[in-house]
Amino acid sequence: MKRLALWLLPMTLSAGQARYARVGDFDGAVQVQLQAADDWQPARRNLPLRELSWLRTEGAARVEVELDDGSVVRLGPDSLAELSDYTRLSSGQRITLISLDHGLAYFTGAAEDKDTLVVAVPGAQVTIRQGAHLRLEARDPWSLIAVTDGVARFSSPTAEFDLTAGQIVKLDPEHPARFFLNREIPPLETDRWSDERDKVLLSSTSAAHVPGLGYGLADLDAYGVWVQSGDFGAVWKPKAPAGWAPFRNGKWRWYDGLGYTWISDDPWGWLPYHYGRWMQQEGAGWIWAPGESAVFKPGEVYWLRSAKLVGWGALAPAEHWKPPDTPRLYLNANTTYASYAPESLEIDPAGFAARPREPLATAVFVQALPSPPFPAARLDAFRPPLRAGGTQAVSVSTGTAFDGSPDPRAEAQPDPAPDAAYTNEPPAAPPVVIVQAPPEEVPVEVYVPVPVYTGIIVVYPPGYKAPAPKIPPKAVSPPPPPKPKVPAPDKPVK
Amino acid sequence: MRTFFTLPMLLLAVAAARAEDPLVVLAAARTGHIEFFDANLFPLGAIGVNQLVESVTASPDGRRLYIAQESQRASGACCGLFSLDLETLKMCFLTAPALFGAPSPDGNFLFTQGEVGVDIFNARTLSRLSTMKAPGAYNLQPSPGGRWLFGVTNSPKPSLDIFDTKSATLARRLPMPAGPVTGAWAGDRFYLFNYSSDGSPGKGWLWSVRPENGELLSDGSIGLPDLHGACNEPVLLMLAGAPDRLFLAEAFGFKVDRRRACPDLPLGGIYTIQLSTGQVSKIAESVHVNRMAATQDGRELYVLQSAGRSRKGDASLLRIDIATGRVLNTVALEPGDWNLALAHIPPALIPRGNLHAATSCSR
Repeated sequence: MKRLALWLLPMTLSAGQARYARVGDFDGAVQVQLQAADDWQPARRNLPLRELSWLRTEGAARVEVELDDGSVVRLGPDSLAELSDYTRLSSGQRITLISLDHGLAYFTGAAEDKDTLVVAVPGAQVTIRQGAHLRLEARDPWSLIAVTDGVARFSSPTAEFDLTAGQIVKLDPEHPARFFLNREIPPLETDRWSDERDKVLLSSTSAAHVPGLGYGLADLDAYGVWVQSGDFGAVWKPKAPAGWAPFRNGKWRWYDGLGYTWISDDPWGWLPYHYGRWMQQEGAGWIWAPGESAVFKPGEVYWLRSAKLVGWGALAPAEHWKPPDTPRLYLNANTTYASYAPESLEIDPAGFAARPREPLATAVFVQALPSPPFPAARLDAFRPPLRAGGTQAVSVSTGTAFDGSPDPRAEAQPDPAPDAAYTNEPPAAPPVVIVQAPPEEVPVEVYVPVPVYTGIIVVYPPGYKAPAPKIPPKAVSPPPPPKPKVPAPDKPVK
Repeated sequence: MRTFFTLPMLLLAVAAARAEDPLVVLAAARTGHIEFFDANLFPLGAIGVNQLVESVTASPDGRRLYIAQESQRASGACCGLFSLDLETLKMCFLTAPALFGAPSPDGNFLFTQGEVGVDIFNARTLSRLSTMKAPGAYNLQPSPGGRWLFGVTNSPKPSLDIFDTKSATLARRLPMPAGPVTGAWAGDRFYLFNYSSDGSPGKGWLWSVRPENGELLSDGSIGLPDLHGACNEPVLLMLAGAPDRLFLAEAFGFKVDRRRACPDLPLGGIYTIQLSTGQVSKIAESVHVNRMAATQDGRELYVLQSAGRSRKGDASLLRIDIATGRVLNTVALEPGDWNLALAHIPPALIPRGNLHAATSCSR
């Protein structure tokens, strides 16, 4: 029984926890808007992205975003994307929907058993189950989805089928019944960048030491070493100069629902600041013990606070610290200080020179810092809707047949002008035109003798000729209803 | 170690607390009162609600009933949807026209179909959160986790429409290969059933959908007897679910009732469809089902029986052992139309004797 209880604990703790994605490698002018009420701000490496974050690139900029399930999204030049749905249900199931509003994106990832992983462009979406590498383009007016590796399920308002490696679909969101399938993907200049980043991330050896977490791993390979510790098992030691301490190179930013959250300037500063704990050992210096929790933390530190100053330092593994006790790792040399104002959304230690000699004489330990003021007007903030539709997935109807050859009922569509994004040789194979087959007409039910809400259905015998429809009696006589756009609920007729 | 051991157990205990309240069987008389019975169908009490009752459901915590009943605010149509607080016995008007209230199992939302779409209410504050565009007339059934709302419609075409309660949108429409269809939750899947759409007598079809991927899977055909037999009249079919099986029954006591046209045929009974094997068997052969609901553990089935051949005929409430098909308890009800719901209600809120609901409230 105890074994069962121990097994349940991590599941219980992780179920329903908020998810955060990491801004990783980037180049050029990249901006982030974490929620509608926020201003656009320059992206920072290791910035946590929450659900509904928007990300855009300007000019030739590009950026990589790592998701907690190991998936990666990369935005190319002049692009805008949203982390439309990024949730973990109480069942533990992760739901991810990434919407590309315009520009170019690459996606690499795979959905674990019960997870849902969807990428949307204007007019269509793809669902990833097994591993797939995708390239997505949202142009005006065309949307293009290419599968460079693996398989993805393509869905549009008129069709649904598997796209396999080497196939590209081009569609016009304004005319969803008409789209083009090519069996050769024209290369783009940015493809190589994405391929190389995939190789770097996939070759990480740190994953073996951090089970259950799929992001920020490659940086641990590059910027530190794994060593065995008698107390903590495999621990990671950064390549850092003497006198270095964790939670010093970066700043805190306020996140609703998370509190002040550490955004590290250390290039590897993702996993070691949001999972596990730090320890200072004689001879080894600072080491990071990953721990077993897969719950994202803002940065586990002790806080010291006075009227205009705050200080913080790492908490030790398994330490259950509560003020006013002195934390195990507390030393003035281990503590980083910054100026503090209660209304500030950021706490930045850079340039702070007034380090107190006797901090405990003027400051007290506190568990956490209070929330900055939250103006209610933030809740009224509004964003324009995305072309990709945000969290609204497109519906799918039957009637489309796809066997790789043109539908004989379809009227051939002229190939549109070559897209400007295709910079290399045009594809050799002619496009296959797929047009939605007309769905079979189903008689509209005009008279239901049982209220529909009950779920009771009427099954007629073969060859049955129904008597002429009668207006069912009503509990109370209503006025004749106007012709509704939506079928009105049935009337009770018992 | 004690901390590790007790925390999950505590959470599980909290989750199970609602189910620990006693099972109460609610029978709502169309004439305007709701009768409360214990699990053995022993009468506990009743609450009068003044107006004609169309339907009743209960909130997961058992503190509220959602009642659709005749209302002046429905502008002549049937009906208005009300919330009845079992502690104060005050009724709050929610919306009109509406014929039913479907509470989400997590207790957060209440759904109903109104004039322009599916309305979502905050089940705690009773405020309307939004209205989802809904292109059908629905049998609405929220997913066990509360995130999704499944709507089965046969008009204008048979489909399963999946609404995302988080974004308040129609997330997915799954057109059904055949119709008409009816649906029910069984365990963690939603099942859809069609009978004999290809004209083959005795052939039923099952499909299932998991809420996490919204993909329609065919579960194949189900061998049933020829449900029409020698009676050339429409058959009403209803479906209910338990964790491991489905219940299919012909419905009686409605405007269409084959007993009137074919009085000499042996009609009635409930088919059980074992989901792991597809095995079909028939229980309670002489019971004429008007409504039915299975308990959460799937051991018992409560049935509202229409004993007479007209909708004004005799009615009774039955408790049936699913494993054996035996009728364990029966209680006679006044002749007339009734509706059925199961609830877990805190003992202090179960009415003792005949009470009456107040007609207004402040939220």
